Amino acid sequence: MIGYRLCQTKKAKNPYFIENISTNIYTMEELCFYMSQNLYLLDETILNGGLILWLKEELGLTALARRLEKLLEDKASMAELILPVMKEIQYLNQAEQKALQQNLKQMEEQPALMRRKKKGDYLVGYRKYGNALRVYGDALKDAREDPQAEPAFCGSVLHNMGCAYARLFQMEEALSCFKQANELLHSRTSLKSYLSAIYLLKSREEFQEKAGQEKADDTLICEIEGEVLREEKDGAADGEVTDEMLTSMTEEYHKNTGW
Amino acid sequence: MNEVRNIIVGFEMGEKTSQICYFDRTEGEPVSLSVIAGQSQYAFPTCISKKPGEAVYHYGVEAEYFAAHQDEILIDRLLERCLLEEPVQVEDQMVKPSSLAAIFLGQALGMLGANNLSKNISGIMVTVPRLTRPLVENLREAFQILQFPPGRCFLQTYDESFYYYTISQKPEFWSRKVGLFTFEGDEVAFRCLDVNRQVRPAEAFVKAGKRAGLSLDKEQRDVDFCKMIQESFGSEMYSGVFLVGSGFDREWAVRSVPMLCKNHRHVFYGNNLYCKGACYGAREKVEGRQVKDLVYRGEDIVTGMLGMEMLVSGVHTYYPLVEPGIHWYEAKKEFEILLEDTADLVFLAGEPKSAQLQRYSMSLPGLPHRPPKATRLRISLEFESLSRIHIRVTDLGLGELFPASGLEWNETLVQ
Repeated sequence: MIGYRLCQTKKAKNPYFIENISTNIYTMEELCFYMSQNLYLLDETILNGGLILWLKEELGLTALARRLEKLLEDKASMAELILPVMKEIQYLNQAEQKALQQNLKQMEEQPALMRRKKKGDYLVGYRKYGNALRVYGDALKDAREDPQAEPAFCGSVLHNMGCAYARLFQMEEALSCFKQANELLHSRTSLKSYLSAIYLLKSREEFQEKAGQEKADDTLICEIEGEVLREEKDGAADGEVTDEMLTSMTEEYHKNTGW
Repeated sequence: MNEVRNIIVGFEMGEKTSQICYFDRTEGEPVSLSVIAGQSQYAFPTCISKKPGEAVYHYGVEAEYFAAHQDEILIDRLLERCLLEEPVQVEDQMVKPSSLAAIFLGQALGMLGANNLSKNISGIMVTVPRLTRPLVENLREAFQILQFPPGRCFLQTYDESFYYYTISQKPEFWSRKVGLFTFEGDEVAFRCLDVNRQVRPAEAFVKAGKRAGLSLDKEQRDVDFCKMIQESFGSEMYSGVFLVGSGFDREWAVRSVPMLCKNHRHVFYGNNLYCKGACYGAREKVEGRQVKDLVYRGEDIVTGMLGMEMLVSGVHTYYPLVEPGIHWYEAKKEFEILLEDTADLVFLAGEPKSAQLQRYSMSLPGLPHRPPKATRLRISLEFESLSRIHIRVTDLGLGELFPASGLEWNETLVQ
């Protein structure tokens, strides 16, 4: 097994901005890594004329740029677009290339709504909660209008929306999403999220009352109480919040919400 | 001076004295420049002087004069100072050796009479008795201060200048071994140039020989030198001999001169062999190889190879970092790799003809844990001396996706 590979293409002076995750990239290795790891985030916001221009002018990869230009004109599939990029620096070995092709095939076979939800999940992974909420919101709206969409799908989207809102400290919205999700999913996970949100936003009494109404078992109640207590303890142990921490948290918040 | 453009210069920077020559294309050989017009005084002291409180400097003979008669501050032992990194105190300031070297070189090169040194000199070779990493850096910086473009300034040892001077003579002179006796007062040292013609291209080596003291008594001095010649030559065949330095005189060398000239050996005595050898060296760098099928394999030439096994354009291959045949002080490499599934670096080193290469492992403690292909490392190699290679590894992360940790690891590989 080879431990490392030589980086042969140059580094761009001016980066290419990946809109979805609000991140700049400077090299082919970064582009290939992002593409291979985030298939669900590959959309027209990255695979476009801007990327082709960047490849040509910043990295000097004119042949690749020409090829992608032609593929874009021909409205080629995702696989047809990303494989030449990977091949340019021989980024993947045979096994990895095979796995990527399988993942692409699997993704393309999935319903469009599922792909959109996955996109939201990836954005949450990158802590781009604002973008994720927009994607989830659109998917939910379309799913509600689609008679073939299953309630469980809407439930899982709502659950993940609740998680994203919670990360943004918008607990009212989070609670509302968890409530709706639980009504649709009736799962242990959805109930746990819903009850945890009540505990955090309201009070222990209201949490206990709701847990009783929802017939939550003792194990689940203990689990939630333990986690909330641990959370509070960790928060207190973190101590003083410095100006730098606040600035960084504010910046992160603006970056994630776009506001 | 016949040359005004594309001047090729040889510069001998000695411990006590220095010399300059240029390649005269009409004559087809280097011509030494005299410090005093119309005379054959080529050597000048390796020093500068500074007028107190003013940025006014002199070099060489003038420096000694102004220091002795005008109270200027003498900065001597310039080569010795440039062999080290330490700054030099001049008045109340600490000055980098490279700045002093720039003043010395710049003023001395004024002898060429060129309007614009950095523009009119197409190549300059500085030759010195021995090389250290600080000397290489100091002279490199000095030429930067003088605004010489990179790739026009070169550096070589006296040994290599001896080689270049020799191979620029008629082939019959170096058809066998060539000896070099260097006189330094009451001592004489021997070096020998040997060409291995059994290989292609032929390889030239300079080997250090005996060093011996010489008596002050003229007759005994001759006897001492005769003994030195016999012991140095042994039973080997020498087609040419050079005598350089101060301390040799035909007046006392009554028996030694015939011994040197035995078997129609060509014998030359002079004081500008290194300077002219440097000029021939510069010419080879600028205008290409003058003698085909011959390479220099001196003590400053890297003989081993160093590399890494990695994926290059998707193919598992040995990637050479240092190839044999170049000067250690010119052997530099900087490249970037992407880690696949390891956190250790393995370097392979050894002689080209050896069956197996030695493996040197370098670990990177503290390197952040990231997914495969999410860590880019910059690796820089530089020789500290012929046998010591300094390796610097810098964590670059993967752009903004995985920010760099700012960590750097340094290791010295001793071969």
